[in-house]
Order: sequence, then C-alpha cells, then structure tokens
Amino acid sequence: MNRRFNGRLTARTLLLIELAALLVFFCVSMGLCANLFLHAKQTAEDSGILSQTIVETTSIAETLKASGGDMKKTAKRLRSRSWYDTDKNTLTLYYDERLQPSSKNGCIYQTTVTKESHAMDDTYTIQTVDIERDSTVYELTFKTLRTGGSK
Amino acid sequence: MSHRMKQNQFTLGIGVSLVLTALMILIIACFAAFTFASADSEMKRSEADRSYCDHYYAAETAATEIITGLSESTIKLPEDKNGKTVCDSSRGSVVISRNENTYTFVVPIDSKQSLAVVARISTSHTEVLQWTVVSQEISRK
Repeated sequence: MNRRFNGRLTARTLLLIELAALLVFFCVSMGLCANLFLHAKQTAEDSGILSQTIVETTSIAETLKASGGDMKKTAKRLRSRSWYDTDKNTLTLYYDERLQPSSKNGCIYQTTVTKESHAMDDTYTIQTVDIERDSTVYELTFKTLRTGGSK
Repeated sequence: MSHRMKQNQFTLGIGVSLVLTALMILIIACFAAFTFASADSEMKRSEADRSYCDHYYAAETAATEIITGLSESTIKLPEDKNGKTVCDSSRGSVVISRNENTYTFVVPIDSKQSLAVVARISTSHTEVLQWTVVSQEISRK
C-alpha cells in the first residue's frame, strides 16, 4: 500500500512509478521498432518487385527487337511467361504476387506491351501495373529500327 | 535487518531486470535500424537500375531517331562527304561523322557510358554495322 510520510513517497511507490515509466518507454520503443520493421519489410518487397520488373521489362524489350516486333513470336519466345493475350499491336502478360507467370484470373501484376508503327521504326511502351494497388510499377517507352527487307 | 536485506535484494533484482530490458530495447532498436538501412540501400540500388534502364533505352531511342533522320534526310548533312555535323537529340548534342555513306556517332547514356553506332545509309538500304555500349573515355578517343 502506498503511503505518504511528510510529503515523501515510499521506496515501493517510487519503484512502481519507475516500472510504469519503463513499461511506457518499452511499449513506445517496441512500437517504433515494429513500425521500422514493417516499413523495412515493405521497402524490401517493393525493391524486389521493382528489380524483377526491370529484368522482365528489359527481357521483353530485347525479345521484341529479336522478333522484329511480332507480338506472337515475342510471346512464344518468352516461354516461361506462358500466360498471355496477344493481338497485332498489343501483348499482355500476367504475373502473381512474386512476379511469376500466372493466369489472368489470379494475377496481381499485369504487363502490357503496345506497339506503334512508323515508316522506319516502331515505338514500344511496356507498362507493368499492380492491379491491387492500381499503380504503375514501371513503364518504359523506346523506339527501335524495323529490321529486315529493303526500303 | 533481515527485512531490509530482503528489500535490497528485491531492488537489486528489479535493477538487473531494468538494465536487461534497456539492453534488449537497444539491441532490438539497432537491429530494426540495420534492417531498415539494408532495405533502403536495396531500394536505392533498384532505383539506380531503373535509372540506368531508362537512360539506356532513351539513348537507343535517340540513336534510332538519328538513323531515321539521316535515312529520311530530315537531318542536314555537311556538303563535304567526309565531314562532321552536330545534331540535337533527346540526349543532347550528338556529333555525326560521315565517311561517304557510313555514319558514326556516339549517344551518351549516362556520365560513364555511351552508345556507339556505325550505320551505312543509302537511298534504298540502311545497315547498322555497330551498336555497342562503350565507356565515355573510349568514346572520347
């Protein structure tokens, strides 16, 4: 029981106050640490996805160039990305949460390739979108010469 | 006397546990900071990769536009068949050297690398002879 003697606190009361203060400090510190861990986890996940998206995008870009801009050929050459939709000027690839090939229904990320043809060159836009967050992870636009044949 | 000793032991026990708790908080805080710093540096590396990829494909686009311009004669060429001309591109000014119908130019990618291109362009045919990434030092030579 806490008692006051001439306005002074007993040793036990002081100890309890100290313990309570420590508990508050502990909780605040743990909260901050947990927050830092969660932030670090999110940052690590985002950077992993970004790195993989860049690798995927450059693979698609180089395959497009090697295929002369033919979307079907490109899709077939990207063998591990077996889930895709394609027409003459667009190619859509589907990925799960770890950016592995996925079906259209279970996909989290979607990469869309669009082609715009000009007289001598083609302009490609490769855009990877996070469907759940409705945000663009990475977008690349580039021009490449059309190969083969004579003018 | 015995009661006082017991109280001292109790206070000492609490003191040790307080020190251990503080130490534990410190270790966890250090670990959290280290984890965050590591994740942050990973993110910076990914951003650098993204930046390089953007710059590389921008250089490729500029090189493609130059070849298209030369082929379609939208870029003004020097009268001399073995001269040089400066062309404005999306990657800055690019010096194009001409040797008959063979054109050589270097498009900067970043501060360290450039895209060196050699192309043979005639009225009916465009042939890319070289398309290589070189260091800025080599490209200056």
